[in-house]
Amino acid sequence: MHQPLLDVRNLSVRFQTAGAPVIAVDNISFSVSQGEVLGVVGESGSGKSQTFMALGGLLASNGETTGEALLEGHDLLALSDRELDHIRGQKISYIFQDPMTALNPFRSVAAQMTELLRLHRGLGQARARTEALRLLERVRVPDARRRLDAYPHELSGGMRQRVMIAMALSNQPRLLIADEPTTALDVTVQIQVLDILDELRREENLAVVLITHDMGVVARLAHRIMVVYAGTIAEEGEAEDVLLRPSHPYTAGLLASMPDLAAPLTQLQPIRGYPPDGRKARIGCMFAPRCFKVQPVCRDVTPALEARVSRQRQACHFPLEPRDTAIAGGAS
Amino acid sequence: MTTGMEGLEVDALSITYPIGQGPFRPRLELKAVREVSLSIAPGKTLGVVGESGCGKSTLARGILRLQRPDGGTVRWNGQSISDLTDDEFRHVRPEMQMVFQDPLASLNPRMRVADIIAEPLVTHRPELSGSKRQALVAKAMERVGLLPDMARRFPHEFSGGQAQRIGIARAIVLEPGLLICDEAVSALDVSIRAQVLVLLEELQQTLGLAILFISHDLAVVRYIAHEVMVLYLGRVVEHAERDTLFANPKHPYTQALIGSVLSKDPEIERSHEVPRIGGELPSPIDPPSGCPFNTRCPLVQPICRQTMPALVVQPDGSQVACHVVEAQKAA
Repeated sequence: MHQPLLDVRNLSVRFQTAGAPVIAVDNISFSVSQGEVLGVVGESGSGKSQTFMALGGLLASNGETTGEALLEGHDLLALSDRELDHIRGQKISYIFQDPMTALNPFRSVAAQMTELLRLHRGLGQARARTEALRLLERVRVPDARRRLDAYPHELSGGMRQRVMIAMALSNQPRLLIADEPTTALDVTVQIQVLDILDELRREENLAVVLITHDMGVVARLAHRIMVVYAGTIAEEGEAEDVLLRPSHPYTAGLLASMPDLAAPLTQLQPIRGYPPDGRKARIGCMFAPRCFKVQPVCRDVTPALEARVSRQRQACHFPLEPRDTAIAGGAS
Repeated sequence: MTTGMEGLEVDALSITYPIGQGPFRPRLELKAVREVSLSIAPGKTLGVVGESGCGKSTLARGILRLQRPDGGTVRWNGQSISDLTDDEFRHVRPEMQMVFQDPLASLNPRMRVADIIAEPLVTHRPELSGSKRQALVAKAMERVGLLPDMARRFPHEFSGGQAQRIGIARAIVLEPGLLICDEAVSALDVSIRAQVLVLLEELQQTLGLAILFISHDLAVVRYIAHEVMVLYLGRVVEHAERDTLFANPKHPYTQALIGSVLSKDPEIERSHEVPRIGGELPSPIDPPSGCPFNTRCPLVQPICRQTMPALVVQPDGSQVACHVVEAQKAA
C-alpha cells in the first residue's frame, strides 16, 4: 500500500466545560490515501465530526487537541494559525450538511465563488468567473451560465449542494471532507450528489472522507469504513467486510436497526439503551452497557483496536464470528 | 352525516395557501393538497411518502383542522368533523394526537416531564383528580419505556430518543384512536429510530391505534405501514397495499423513489442503476399543466402535458394516476 495522504495518530479532542471536561475523541489513529473514500459512520455525539473539525482547526474555542495529524508530512495539529490557513487553503476542503447556512444569502453564486478563486489561486476577476463556470459545469449544474448569477435562495437544495461542492474544488484540494453531504437532500437528489463526489474522487485522485450516519451512503461510495462510537473506533476495515460481516456488536446492531428495501422485511432488532454521556469516566469498553455479548471484563478493560477474528480491526473482547452475525440479525 | 366506518376517512381534501398578499403583489395560490382521499382503520398504519414540498405535512394539518381546507371532508369514526364548530371539535380532538419531528423543540423546556405529559389531561379532562391524573401519566410513561424517576426532570436532560418517547407519551396519555406521526423518527439516530419504530408497533397493538405515518424514508415506511400513499405536488399518484407497492410500483415517480433508495449491502449498492429522473420538483405555485410529474417523467407522452390523469383502480387493487400505465393496460 502506498504512502497515506493523511495519517492521524493518537488524536484526542476534549472540550472544557463549566463541569467536567467532555472527551469527544479518545486517542484514535487512522489514515486516508489518495483516490480513496473513507466512510466514517457514527451517531450524534460519537465524535465523527469533531475528529475532522480538529484537523482543520475548526473546533469551538473551548476545544483542545492532542496527537498528530500528518498531511504530506506537515503535522496539522502543530502548525501556527497562519501556516494552517495556508495548508488548508491549498489542500483541504470541507462540505457540510446544510448548504443554505453555508452560503451567504446576500451574495450571488458568482460573487462567492470568484472570491475564493481570487483568494486561493490569485486569479483576476475575468479568469475567476470563467473558472467558476467551469467548476459549476464540473459538478453537473445544468444551465450553469444562468445559475452563476443566481442567489442561493433561487436554487433548490440539490443545486446548492452542487455549488458547495464546486466551491470546495476551487482550491484544488487533495483531501475533501464531506460531513453528511446528502442528509438534507431528497432521495432522488442524494444519489446524484453522491455520484458526483465519486466521479471527482476518481478523476482528480482526491482523498474523500465521507462522514455519515447512513449505512446506505457508505455502501455506495466508501472503500474503507470506520465505525465510531463514543469517541473511539469500534471497527475499521474494507467496506464489504464491515457491512456484510460486521465483527463488532455495535456495527451489527446498527445494521440490524436499519430497514433495507433491498432485503426481505424482517423484525428490527434495536440496540438497547442510549449512547453514553461524554462527561462520564471512561473505563472499559464504552459500548458495554448496551452490548448483548457483554462480559465482566468488558466493563473494566478497554479493548484495543486489532484484527482478532477477521480481516477488519475491531475494539472488542468478544468479536462476532460470521455465524454470530446472522444471530445478531446483522448483515442481511 | 355519519357512516358506519370506524377510524379515519378523508374524502377529496384540498388545501390552498394564499401567498404574496399585499397591496403591490400579485395574489398567488399554493395548492398544497389536491383532492386527497384516504381511510385508516383502527390498528392499521397508512404511510404517506413524497419529497419535500409534496404536501405531506399540510395533509396532516388539514386532518387536525390546524389548516382550513377549501374542499373535502374528514370523518372520524363515521362522524364528519369538517362541519363541527370549534367548540364541538374540541370534544373530538383528544381522539386525534400528533407526534412531531424534532422532539426537543416540541417540548416546553421549562416544564417537567410529568407536567408535559399531563398537559393534554389538564386541557381535555379537567374533571380528573390530581392523583388520577398522576396515575395516567405514570401509565403513559411506562408504556413508552420511561422510568418513573424521570418524571421530575426537564427536557434538556434527555437525549433525542428519550425526548421523542416523552412526545409519544404526551400523545397517548388521552388514549387516542388516531396518531399522526409527521417525520417522527427522522431526526433520531439509527439505533434509537429502531427503538421508536418498535415502540410504535407495540403501542398500536395495545391501543388499537390508527396511525398516519408521514415520512420521506421509504425503508422505514415499508417497515411500519400496512398501506402506502405516494404524493407528488399535493396529489396522490399511487396508493396501494405495502407489499404490492414495493414489489410492483406502477407510477414512474414511485418507481424512481424506490429506485433511489440506497441499500446497506455494498454488493447491491455498487451495481445499483440510478433511475433516470430528470430535474427537481417544480414550483407548487406554478405547477405544470396536465400530469404534475410530466417535467421529470422518463415515459412522458404528449397527453401527459395536456390532461390530468385520474386515479384509477388497477387489477391488483392499487390506485395509480398515470396515462402511460392506462395506455399499457389498453394495449
